Amino acid sequence: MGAKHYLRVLRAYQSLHFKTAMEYRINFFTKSGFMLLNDLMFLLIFMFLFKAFGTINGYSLTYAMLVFGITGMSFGIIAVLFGGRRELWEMILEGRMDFYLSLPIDELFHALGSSSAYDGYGDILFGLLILIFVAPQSLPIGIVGALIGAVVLLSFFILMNCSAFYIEHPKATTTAANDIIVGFASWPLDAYTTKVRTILYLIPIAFIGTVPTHLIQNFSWRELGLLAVVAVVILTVSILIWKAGIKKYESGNLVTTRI
Amino acid sequence: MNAYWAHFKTSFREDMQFFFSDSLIGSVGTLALITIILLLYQATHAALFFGLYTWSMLVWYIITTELLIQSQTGVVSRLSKQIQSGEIVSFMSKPYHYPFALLTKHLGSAAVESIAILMLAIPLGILLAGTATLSAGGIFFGIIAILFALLLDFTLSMSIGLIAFWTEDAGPYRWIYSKTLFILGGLMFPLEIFPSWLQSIAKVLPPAFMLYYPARLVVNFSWDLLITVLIGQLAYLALFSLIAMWMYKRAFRRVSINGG
Repeated sequence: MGAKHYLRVLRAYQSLHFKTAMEYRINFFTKSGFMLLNDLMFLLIFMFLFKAFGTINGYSLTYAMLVFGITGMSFGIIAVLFGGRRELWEMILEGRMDFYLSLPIDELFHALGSSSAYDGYGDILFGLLILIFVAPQSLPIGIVGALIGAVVLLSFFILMNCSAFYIEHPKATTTAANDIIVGFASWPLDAYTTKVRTILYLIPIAFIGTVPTHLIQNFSWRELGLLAVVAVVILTVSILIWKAGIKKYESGNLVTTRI
Repeated sequence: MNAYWAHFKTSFREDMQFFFSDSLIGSVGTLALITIILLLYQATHAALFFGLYTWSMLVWYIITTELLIQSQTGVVSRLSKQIQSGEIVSFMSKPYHYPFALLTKHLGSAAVESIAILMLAIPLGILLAGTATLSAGGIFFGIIAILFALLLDFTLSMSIGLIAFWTEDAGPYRWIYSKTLFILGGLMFPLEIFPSWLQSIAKVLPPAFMLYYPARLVVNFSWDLLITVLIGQLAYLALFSLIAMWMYKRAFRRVSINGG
């Protein structure tokens, strides 16, 4: 099956998710609206900090807002397109992957795309608003940066969920990993010491929010290429680890109904 | 009373079963969040909080507020899920008062979470700031204030969780609640960072009594502060307990109307 087919499946799922959202529109608007409000409230924390300190290690409020906005948008893109990532580890643990494994389409892609989290729309809108107000001239670069950042983020989520193949209680590991990624990705790397920065480039959390923001502020094809290469490499690594892990999967022999 | 004590013990033992694989590993994330905030403060090189806080005070302040926020172990999501699945009906019909059973279960889990966080955060605090700031009074009364703060959070979380009876999912309301706590409670920074007009408002609101004041007691203990904190916490606890019980009664009636 080619990429075209996968895109068609993703589009079909998105159309289905959107129809479901419109059926329960109060729930949809509450979740996405409150997530937007949630992000805006977090922005207030930035504002108070910068009002008190002026700049932090030479970076300004505008720069911090862009990093936070781009990271938020990447989270939103993954939540909307691949909302299944939130319960993937549970599906593995409870042996609920049988349905996906029995179909000709790739089980990882299918399991990730088969659900969507409405709060992601709030994150995407927040990121767009930040770009429009802070760097309107760089809107296309910002969106491209957030899309590539989303690929890096998705790879992290796949790796986190893979822990369910190897350990008995993956919830704590995934929660801790999630906290670390969100925490470090949401702040500009320039805030940290050189050692910490180097680690964050190597892991590579830096490529979620900080590098796309560098592109907005000072675009270079070289850096865009580097970002794309890193995204492809980490995605490939995460898929390979998933493929190795799925061999350990044990079915729960559950009879379930998918409505 | 025995039933509630049993709930506490069961919940504590259950969580202790997976202490190393769940709670302790989960606390690594908390440790990372504490480190991120402290790295940011280190980078500012500013006269820390206008001479009001030393580096050591700031380190223990952040550890205490993070301990408090991370020990609040998902009352809203637990209630929300029980309401969505209808499972809550079976708990409500048991021969005990469900809110108290939920509270004791919650405290059992919070105790395990706190132990796990402290096992990692105390060495970090000693490494970064030493123990010169800490006093026996600050630690002892700080623990009491932390306990009241957890109770206060429970009453608010329960009220928010019960919203699911009307809206199906209380998650979005929890996000706003937690962000309000972050900002007005002083999770990442002491409230002295605000302009004076906002500071004076924030310092009398409930979030301050749930994060800021308990942490301030730990790092800068005084009898005057202790009296202020306890009066505020008890007053808000009484108010929010009444609100939570009123909402529970309304929710209970709603269950009867729908036939469970």
